[in-house]
Amino acid sequence: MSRISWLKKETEAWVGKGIVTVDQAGRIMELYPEDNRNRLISALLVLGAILVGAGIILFFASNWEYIPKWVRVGIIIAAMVSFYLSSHLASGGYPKVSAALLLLGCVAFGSGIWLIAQIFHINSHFPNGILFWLLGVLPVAFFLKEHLPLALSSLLLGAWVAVEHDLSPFVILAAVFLFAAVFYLNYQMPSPFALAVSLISAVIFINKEIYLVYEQYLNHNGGFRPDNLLSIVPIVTLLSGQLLAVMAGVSANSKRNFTFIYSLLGIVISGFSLYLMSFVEFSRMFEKFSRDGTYWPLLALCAISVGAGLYFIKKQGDLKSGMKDNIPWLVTVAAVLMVLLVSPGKPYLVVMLNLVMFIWALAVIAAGYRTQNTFCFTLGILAFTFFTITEYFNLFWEMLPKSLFFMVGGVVLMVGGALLERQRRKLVGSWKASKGGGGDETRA
Amino acid sequence: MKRGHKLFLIVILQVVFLLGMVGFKYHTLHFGAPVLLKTLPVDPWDMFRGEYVRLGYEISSIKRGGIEDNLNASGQVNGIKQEIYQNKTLYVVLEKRGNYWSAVSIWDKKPRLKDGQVFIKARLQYYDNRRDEYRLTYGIESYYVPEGEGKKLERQSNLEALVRVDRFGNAVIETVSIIKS
Repeated sequence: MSRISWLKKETEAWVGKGIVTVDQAGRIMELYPEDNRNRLISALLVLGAILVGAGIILFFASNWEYIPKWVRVGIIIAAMVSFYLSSHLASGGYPKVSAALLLLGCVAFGSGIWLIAQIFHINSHFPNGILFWLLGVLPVAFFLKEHLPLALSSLLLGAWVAVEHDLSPFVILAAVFLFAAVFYLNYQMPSPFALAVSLISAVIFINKEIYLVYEQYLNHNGGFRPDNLLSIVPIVTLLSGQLLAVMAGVSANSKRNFTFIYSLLGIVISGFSLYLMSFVEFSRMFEKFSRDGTYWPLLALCAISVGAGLYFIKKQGDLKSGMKDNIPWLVTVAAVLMVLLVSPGKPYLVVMLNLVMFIWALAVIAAGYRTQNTFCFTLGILAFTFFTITEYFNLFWEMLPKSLFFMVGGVVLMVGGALLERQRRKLVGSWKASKGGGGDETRA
Repeated sequence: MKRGHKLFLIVILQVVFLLGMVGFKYHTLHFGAPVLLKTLPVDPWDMFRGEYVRLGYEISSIKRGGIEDNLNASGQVNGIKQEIYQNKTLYVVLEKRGNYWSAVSIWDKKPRLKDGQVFIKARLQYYDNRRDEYRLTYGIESYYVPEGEGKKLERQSNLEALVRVDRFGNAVIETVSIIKS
């Protein structure tokens, strides 16, 4: 067992015995960074496990008639037990191999569920299959405090809420309870990768439930147009993404090194939603949707997200400087309010939304500049460039001859890219110098 | 508790769960009444389970006037308030008429059966107001086949499914075959 693995195991045991807190354990581990070789081994093992797992699932999916049903069930159960057994045997000397084998055991359990569902022709839309799989894997993560089964649980939870169309209180309560369990484990262990998957799953869940509730509400009121209702998805996703970005600075996250995950997901999710909202189709759908005046629940959602955002900003310290650090959030809220209150039914909605997209990207760059956060700054520049390229395609594809279109586009990109890179290097260099060289914030 | 013991317990529970799932379905298949249904096939492929044929049945759409309707909210003039029944278990009573079994009544609680009848659990997908029909699913709409076989079945328009229905109304497909004319 490597020195790091030993220390990791020990610190987890200390946390369990109450000798040190999770934060203190995290700080001890930070003193001994894993070298790249170790990370490569982990990555290779996990990739291997994923490939073998996918192979097992596909093998049984091919439904070979040469092997009798009962033998197939026997094979999968035997494989599952052997994976778990070998994982246990390897846990002493080869902790990484053991973790990969444990993941394989969990995948084999899921494969068993799908095999049985195949044998007995259970309907192809079988959300309970994913739920059963999750309920089998979550205890592995909970009792053994293992990261990979936790990440798989988060993934399964996301998949389950995405395919389960039932809106009964039982299903919603079960989902909330499972999310609580998964997030508790994410913060307890703490597991950044599993957290990222859980956050994406949570955004899917929020979107799905709001969509279904809205659908029911419209059903009652008779103004039901399901394809137009889809236009609420980017708005809800945008509000959730921006809340994630605001939550990045909360102390519970910064103590566990989760700031990066929250910022990254917050910016990517918001940027993607704004990008979707910049298309003409979105404006058309939203106009049709808002014609009945059925968008007031979105206003309520917006108010809730403003309340939550202010709460998180206040929690991080001074409200005024917190606001300045979170300009993208303010821009987003203003944009959504504008879409809801000012523009419905107006032809300039699409123009306004395109402008908002650019203002948001500039706000991200400005926030990165203000907090000297290279990562945020770079993402802002990337978003801005991406938006510009899209606009260029949208505006000039029809108007210019194709050869000129590509040449002008290429020259603008190369010159723009070189200029941006020069500015970025200059700024990052000056920040590094002012900070006395490097640090966590300056990973460019 | 030691890590090994915890893992051992989890593995046992997972194995018991898988065997339980098999047992549950096997119970229906072994003790259920055989019910032959007229079938209308469609196609595709499922990521986890491979090729399957999607099946529709004659009893998948039931005309409201064609059967005894015992749903509480069905007395309304213009269709039914379908959200009352959405995601709730309904029960359809089947009776053998000629070779095949047909629906005779629909209930929102377990029905009392006469001789020669079975009931099967159903879910309301939606109510077709235009045709005045219940669109129902029974959990037997997918039939998994070895790779390459799906297309053959798909091309057939005359299929029949032998389904087993246990006394709780659970159904499992036993076989799907081409109707011999």
